[in-house]
Amino acid sequence: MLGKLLKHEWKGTCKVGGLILILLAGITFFGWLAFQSPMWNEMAGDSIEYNMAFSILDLMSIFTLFAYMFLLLGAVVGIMIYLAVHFYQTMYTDEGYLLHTLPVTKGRLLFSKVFIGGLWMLIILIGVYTSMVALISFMMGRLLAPEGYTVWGIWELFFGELGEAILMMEKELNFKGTVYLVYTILTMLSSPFITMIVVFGAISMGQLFTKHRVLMAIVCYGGVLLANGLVKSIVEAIIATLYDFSSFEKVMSFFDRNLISGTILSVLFAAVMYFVSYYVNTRKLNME
Amino acid sequence: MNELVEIVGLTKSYDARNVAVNNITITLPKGKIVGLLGPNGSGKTTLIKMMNGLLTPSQGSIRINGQPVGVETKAHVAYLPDRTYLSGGKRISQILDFFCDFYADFSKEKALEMLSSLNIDPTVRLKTLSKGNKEKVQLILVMSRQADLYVLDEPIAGVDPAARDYILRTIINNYNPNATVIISTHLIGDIEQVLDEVIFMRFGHLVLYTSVDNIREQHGKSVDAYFREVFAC
Amino acid sequence: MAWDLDNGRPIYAQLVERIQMQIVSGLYPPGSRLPSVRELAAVAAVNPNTMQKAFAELERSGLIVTQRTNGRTVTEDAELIRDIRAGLAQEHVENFLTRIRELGYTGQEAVELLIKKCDGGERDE
Repeated sequence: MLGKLLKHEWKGTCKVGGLILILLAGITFFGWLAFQSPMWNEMAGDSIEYNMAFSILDLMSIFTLFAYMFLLLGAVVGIMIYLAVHFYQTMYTDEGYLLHTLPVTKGRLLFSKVFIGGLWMLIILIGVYTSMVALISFMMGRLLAPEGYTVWGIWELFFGELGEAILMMEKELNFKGTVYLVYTILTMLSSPFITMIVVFGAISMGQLFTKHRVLMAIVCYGGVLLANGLVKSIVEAIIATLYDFSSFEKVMSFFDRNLISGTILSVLFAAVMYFVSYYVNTRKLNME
Repeated sequence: MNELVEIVGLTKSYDARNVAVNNITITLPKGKIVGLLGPNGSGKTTLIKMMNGLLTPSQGSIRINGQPVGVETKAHVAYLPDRTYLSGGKRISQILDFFCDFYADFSKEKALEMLSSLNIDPTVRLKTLSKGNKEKVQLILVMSRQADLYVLDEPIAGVDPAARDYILRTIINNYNPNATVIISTHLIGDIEQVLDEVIFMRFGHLVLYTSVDNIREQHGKSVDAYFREVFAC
Repeated sequence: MAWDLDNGRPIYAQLVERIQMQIVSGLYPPGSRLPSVRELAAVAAVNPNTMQKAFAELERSGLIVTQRTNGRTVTEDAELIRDIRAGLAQEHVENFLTRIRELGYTGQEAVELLIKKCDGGERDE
């Protein structure tokens, strides 16, 4: 049954998700347009004394870049809001009458929602990163092409330098570069899921109220984020008091410790919010 | 074992003043068509929603086929809510596939047959249908299941007489002798002749549970007339 | 068309009368097959259990016979059908007489009224 739940959840969301992906491609094209103004030719030139007076095209180029960034942000916020509304609509409005009377366990139902929601969030984020990499490539291509670099060459150079720097830091400063890299990747993979768990948990918390359930869900979302931030900073502060920063090595290990505690707190936070949704669905479900 | 539904001490209260269902105890056998009757706000829908796991009881228990409400009971209860629970953007064929995937007792052939008898094209989207046809599609989905218990919440509210006849006939035609059908309504006269038994509810209380023939024999009047007498203000 | 049923009396009793009527009037001739309970319940728009009860009642009276191979049929016993028909006629006559006496007519006056009505009817035809 879990497979079927996942299948139908995917089918139910792929129209809007796909649309946002197509929009991302469009936005990237829009960003590319920004680098077509003659300003970039002049900036790429050797002479420092390029024409300081901006043409209308230059202004438009800068405006386009800003718009590009806003639209990227909009895509991320957009999918998040869509997934939140979709969750609310299919679980807690009239349509929920269908889902909650299916012969499936609440655990599986919830898992299918969280998994597909998180997956979409991840896909869109990967789309956003891809768009940004593409745009930076355009920019560097524009700026550095006259000096004989290819876009590919630039990235090769960049990662080469970065790798060397990390290796150097690992050797000299006891900096665990590879650990950080793996950690970063894991965070990027898991944070979309955690985000959706928190959002769904807040929406489910709203169901505990008799009236104004949507409003209460939004209030709960703000509340749990605040509480989470508070707990995080308290824990950080406690760890900080336990440490002395007499040497650089000790500072580095403080950062490590902070990272670990932060991870544990995030996972704990997600677990609590997942449980909230599960609890509401199994013990406190009261459909309007 | 002839008991299909066993409800004991069931109560649903939202707060001290607002008790929607008040300490109901009732046992329903297999193979009956039961009318759940009562004026608006008497707790019929609340009772039905608890039977389908959409509301959590404040007190008491419900067992269907000996099982508490859960995955096992949902597999054998076909429920028609008093509202549209299908998303309008979906095509009817997609909804049929959805039911096929989740309900082992759903017969797609039966559903397609009933749809074609109504001249409803399964490839169209639900939102393109008239309100009456949307309701009929939902009824067809529910009655295409080979369930042990059918729970129909106000299936004939606000439909014209022809549609009402169609609905009643669909229920009779698809009903199997081992199953029980619960039909809630406040329009008793319209469905009286398809009922075996009736449950009267008022202010969340169970007022009466008896057979239709009993009422007619003892009181010499229709259930409808008797109902008006019992609930006269 | 759903069957029109009275409000005050048990439904199964009315179904029994209805089917009895259909048999004695020849709609279902002796030995002919009857529709299934479900079919007839759907036509009448009544509960199949009630229709079943009515059929059981008719079986008890011998008007309907259940055969293992052929489903339910009307009895071949033409005499039984005639008897029931006569019984029903008797009932109607008695009902008529009761009513007409309530209006203050004597039996003789009632007969005259009937003859006059029947003659008039025949002349009209």
